[in-house]
Amino acid sequence: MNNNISGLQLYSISIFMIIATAILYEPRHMIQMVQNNAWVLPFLSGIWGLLFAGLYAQLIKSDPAGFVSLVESLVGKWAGRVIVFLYLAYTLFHCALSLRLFTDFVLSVVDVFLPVSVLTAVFLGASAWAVRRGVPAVARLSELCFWGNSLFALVILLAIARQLDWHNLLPVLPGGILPLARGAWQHAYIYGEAFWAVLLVPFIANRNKAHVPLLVSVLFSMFWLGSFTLFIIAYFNHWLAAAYTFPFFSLVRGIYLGEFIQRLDILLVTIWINNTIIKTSVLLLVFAHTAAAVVHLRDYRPLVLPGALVVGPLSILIFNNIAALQQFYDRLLYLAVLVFTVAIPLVLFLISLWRRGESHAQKTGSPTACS
Amino acid sequence: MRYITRKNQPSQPLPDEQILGQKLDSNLQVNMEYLEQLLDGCSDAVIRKFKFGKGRDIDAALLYFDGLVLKTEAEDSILRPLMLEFDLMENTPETKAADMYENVKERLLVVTDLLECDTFDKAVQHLASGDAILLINGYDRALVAGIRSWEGRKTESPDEEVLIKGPKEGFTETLRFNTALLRRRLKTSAFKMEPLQIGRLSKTNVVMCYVKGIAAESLVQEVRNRLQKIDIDAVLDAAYLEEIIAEHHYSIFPQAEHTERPDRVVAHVLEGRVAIMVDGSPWVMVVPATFPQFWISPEDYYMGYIPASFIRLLRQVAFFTALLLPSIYVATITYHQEMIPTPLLLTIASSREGVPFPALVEAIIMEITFEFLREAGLRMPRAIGPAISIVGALVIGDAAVAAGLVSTPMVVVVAFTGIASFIFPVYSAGIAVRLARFPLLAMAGFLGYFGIMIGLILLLVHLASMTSFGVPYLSPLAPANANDSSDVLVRRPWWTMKQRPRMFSPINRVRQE
Repeated sequence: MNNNISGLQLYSISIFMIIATAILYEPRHMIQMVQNNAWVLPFLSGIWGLLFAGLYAQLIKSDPAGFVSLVESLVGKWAGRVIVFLYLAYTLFHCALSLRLFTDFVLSVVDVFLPVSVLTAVFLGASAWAVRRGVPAVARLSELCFWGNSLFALVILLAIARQLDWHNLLPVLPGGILPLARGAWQHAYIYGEAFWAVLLVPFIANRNKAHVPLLVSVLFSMFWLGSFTLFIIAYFNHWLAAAYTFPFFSLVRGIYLGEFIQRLDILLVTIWINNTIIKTSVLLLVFAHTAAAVVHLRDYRPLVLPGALVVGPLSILIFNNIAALQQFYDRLLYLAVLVFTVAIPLVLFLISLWRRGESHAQKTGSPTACS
Repeated sequence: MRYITRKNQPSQPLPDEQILGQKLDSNLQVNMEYLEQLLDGCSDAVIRKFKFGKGRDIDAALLYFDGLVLKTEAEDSILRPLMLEFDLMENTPETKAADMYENVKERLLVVTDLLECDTFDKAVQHLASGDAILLINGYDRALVAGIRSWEGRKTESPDEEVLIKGPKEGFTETLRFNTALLRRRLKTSAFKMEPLQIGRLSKTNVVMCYVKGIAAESLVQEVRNRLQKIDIDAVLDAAYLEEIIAEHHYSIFPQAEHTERPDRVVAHVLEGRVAIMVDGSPWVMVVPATFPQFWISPEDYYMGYIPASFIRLLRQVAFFTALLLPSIYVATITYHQEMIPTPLLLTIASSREGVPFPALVEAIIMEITFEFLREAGLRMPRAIGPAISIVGALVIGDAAVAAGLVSTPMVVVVAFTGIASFIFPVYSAGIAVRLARFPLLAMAGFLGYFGIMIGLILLLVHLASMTSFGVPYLSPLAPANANDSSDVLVRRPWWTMKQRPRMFSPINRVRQE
């Protein structure tokens, strides 16, 4: 079986990683920060996102053997091991967090009767099974779901378009450009989620052209996040939108077309279920594959279930309630994500540049190298 | 433990296996003794012993199975020349014993298809295949006369793949007729038909068809290898082979395409696929098979591309309807009533008033009833089958609603689902969808839309992880291929179909310049 991830599949995976949880929480967060100009933030922070994508594409090109080999070759075996273990822990934590975000959303808004453990087990079970079926299964699933999600998202936007009040977007830049600039940096971490592609290196079919799907996925994420936020503000106005925990869900509940079509919750729930399962699957895959590379296992599949068994309880126990989760999400998450998806990869890239320059100097016999 | 012991028991040799392995003897008497022993109890075996030659001094025997050969052909082409015309041969008196066999073979037998065999095994195989065997005393070989002819079904319009427009011919149970139906449509020597024999007892003739220069060599070799590895006592239909050579044994989805239509087979081999024909089966199996191709009907290519595309889109809608409609209804009624517009909700609520079952149980009862009716309609004699189905559906449905056992909307949903499931051009894909509907229904009953979505995703993961002879089962949708997908979701106009589908890796990709 061909284990390679094609360009379109990498693009789909990347866009799912970026949007999956951002679509749930980010609109409210952005609106709270810059009110009615929040829709500009995804585009501005997307500029950072494009730079991140370029960085990840360079890392993908650096070592065909994968992340573990790359880190160990750049910082040495033991330091490399420490970094890889940190990433393994972060992967499990991130997976648990994504799952918790979604289960909290379901239990607080959609279905308040299901126990959280049941929902977590169902989602994790489906994701773990997908990962055990192999990389092609996950890649093809994301490719198919991408088309479905795009169609549903378009339907939602078109269905609500008639009910928008564009005056809600005014005034333009009431607080000047500074809050936008600050918000752009703080929300750039959303696009840092494209980093997970770096951990899938051995499966990427065309590593040298990986920058294309990564950059396009950032561009499309900018478009979707920007459009959703724009529509939310135009529909509710920014005061009301900021009061909702899940404003996009409230937006969809407001759809009323032809005096018959109303509350197309199912479309949004479908999008979010797809997002969650694919994100959880990719993170479980990344964990199992990276852990297998550390312990020199030929097949990563035996490590999927242990990973899922850690993620399940972790996602339930990690926060006491949705308020604690929101606190963490608003104040700390972006820092953690930026450290793991921007700071450390940037350091690794700089070391690789330095190493490359050093070896080039040695080959050409320049005095710097001799000294 | 008992199971292991049984498994380890060596297989018992079949009776007469020792004789079958032996070579023919030059003594006719010895050969006849063995053959009579082999054919003991075969009431349809005909053994005609006779003498021929100038002085009627040469013993011979003609053997065949009654009903498999044309008797007049045996008389006119074999017995008459030997018993009557032998004397007329100019050099008969000088004919030496050593030349006798050659003379009979070269000058006397008036048969187009004449072979030789020298073992009992081969002789019995030929006999069972419908050939006549001629044994002559003094020779340790037998002449095999290909005068097969049996009563078979004439070529008719296929029952299962009915088209309004397009060819009306369908395959029959006779392999040679079927190969001829294909050969008539592909008049090129590049169209290869490789013979194989599968089945220890049935010795079923199987033909592997492909177009050399289009079908990938690796695919042809893979199909050949998998067929050659089969070790089974009998193959009675192409479906036997599908289960054995398929990659995923636990899947409900068909992994080969079965068709009764020669035009469909030819279209598939021209895409670089391999067709497998089995003697005795009017169904031809085509591999590899991909799921999206089950939406395609040959008729799509016999009408304009715009109506064909519309019908194909209709089939895709029908596919999702057949798979999901009862589940969505149950989930909405049970958990997500807020999604239904108020007037409609009131109508449904009033019709459900008094129904003693929850929506899930109601749906399962109705679906199973519908399956009963469908199966009964299929198995009933043709004259009354449709009547029973319609009367059954109307009477039972009406009575169930009147008795307050089921609600009217549920009857509508199940009927609509049933109609949608008939739209599939490929019968086996329709069955898979019917089966997949039940777990989705259960998940909808327990978890609402979440259940449906989880079920759908599990289904997608299953389909996405499947391959058919190395070709991803969801090709050309995942992995996506724009060129191939455009002729799956809709029907592409002929003038744009310049290339063959890439997913089967054809050697020659150019369909038209």
